[in-house]
Amino acid sequence: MSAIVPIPAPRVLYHNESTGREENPAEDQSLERTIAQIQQGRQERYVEVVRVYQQAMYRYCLRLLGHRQDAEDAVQDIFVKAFEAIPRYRYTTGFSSWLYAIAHRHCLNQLRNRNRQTRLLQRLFGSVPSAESPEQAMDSKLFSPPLMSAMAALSPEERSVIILRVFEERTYEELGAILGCKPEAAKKRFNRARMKVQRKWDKRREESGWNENDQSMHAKI
Amino acid sequence: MERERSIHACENIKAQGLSNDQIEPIDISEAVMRRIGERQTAGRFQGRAPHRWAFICAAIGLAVMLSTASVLAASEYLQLRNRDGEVKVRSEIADHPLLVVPQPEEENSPAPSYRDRVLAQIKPGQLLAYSIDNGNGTRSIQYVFDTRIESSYTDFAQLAAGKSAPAIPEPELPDGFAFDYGSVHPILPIADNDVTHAEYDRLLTLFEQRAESEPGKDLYVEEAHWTEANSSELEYSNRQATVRIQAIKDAIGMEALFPSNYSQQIHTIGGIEVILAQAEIQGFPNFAAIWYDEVSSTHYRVSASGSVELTAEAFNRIVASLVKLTASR
Repeated sequence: MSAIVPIPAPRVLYHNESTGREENPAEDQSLERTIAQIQQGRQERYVEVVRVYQQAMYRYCLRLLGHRQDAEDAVQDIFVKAFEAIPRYRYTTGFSSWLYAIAHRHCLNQLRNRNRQTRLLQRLFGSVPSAESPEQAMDSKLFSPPLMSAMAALSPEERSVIILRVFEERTYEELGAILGCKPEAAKKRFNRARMKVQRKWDKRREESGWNENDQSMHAKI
Repeated sequence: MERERSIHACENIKAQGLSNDQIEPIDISEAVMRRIGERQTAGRFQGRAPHRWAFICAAIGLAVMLSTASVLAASEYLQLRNRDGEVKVRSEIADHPLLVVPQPEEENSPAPSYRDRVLAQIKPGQLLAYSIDNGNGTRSIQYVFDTRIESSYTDFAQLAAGKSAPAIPEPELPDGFAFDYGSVHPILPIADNDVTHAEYDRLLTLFEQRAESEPGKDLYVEEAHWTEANSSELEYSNRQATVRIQAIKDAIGMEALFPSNYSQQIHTIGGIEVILAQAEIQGFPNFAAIWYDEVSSTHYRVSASGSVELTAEAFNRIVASLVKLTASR
């Protein structure tokens, strides 16, 4: 009557010259099999899915929400939501894109709620000097000051697109699947956000004589 | 030109943020499973078998409690490097034990998934590609394959050689072990790969044409061409124990994560470093070994479980003979 959950197979990483990413297409296929088993009632196997994706989800949420505890809570919420929705997952977009799409919507809702709370506090108590905007509250170690300032000028949607494309290295096809649009539209949205960052950067450089080559990050958080 | 500008801009932005490996890892898997279990027992989900969750949670809890006493060196990890100092194998002992969960006596019979439907039509030796509409005007491709050889080691070795799959020598096993199966894993056609993108593009075009000429179908299946495999697998068993050997070529690294029930150490066999891991789970010994052969750029993994008769010494002898045989090829 009892069975042992098998030891997770080791992750095997290949370097893809075309994308520059470390990946394993076969691993995705094996995960699809696990998901099929979860859909057929082997729900205990969901823990394997969580273990594979929790790090990527945490990085994405942390960069977008800018707060470690909020990011950890968000990742838990995302995996619970994904579990709830997994019977409807149909092997169309890759599973990681499907999961990022849930994370994208969840984090944008979180940021909207934060903004609403800040506005409410301001209405109730007048000016609230201690209440920081979500951008100001962002963990200052995540991005260099110039990038932080450029990211703060973007809408949450645009920040998400930048994070997905630049830091999570999603292709335009994947970005389209996450945002619910065609790859060409996803590319346009990314390029618009990128140009905004560039303009903000150029402006800051002109104002302060900042040299981007001296600003790479070395901290570990 | 535009692509280069875009890549350069991405790199510039990336350099201004913490890299992925600078962000501390988290493990929220148990918290997530606990929350799901709580919601399930509270009737929040309308899953297929909600009653099963109570058993699963109880069993997980029990397994965690029982195995706490045998937790060995949580978060300990070992690495094997090549001559250039690059890490080729990283093997970690997790801080969570192997979960023991109840298995339902009989599975529900849900409607077959797309994968099941494709598997129903696959023939031996085939790699089948299948595609369904993503719903946003795009289309992605998934694969299933049947490369399982159940006749003999010789037939497996022939298949592996014909598909340039990594070679696994015939192992020297204790008496009573017999060949179960051997298989190879085809290199799957994907879009972002210099070698396979032509086949991927061909399949994508085929699927798009079929979607136009056969509207209303929810699933399209085509046979994919494949000439090479990047991993091989071989399994032997006696009445109680199973020994599985896997070989993977040209991977930049392998990351293994063993549950906390395991302990691991590095042994040197014939000049090659091998990670040997072992655990006793529910009274039965479980073993694993991982090594990297630099000459053939191949990672090997051997695992065995299921019988008290298979001792650590016997497993180590199997591994030692395989290490020597693979090194001499």
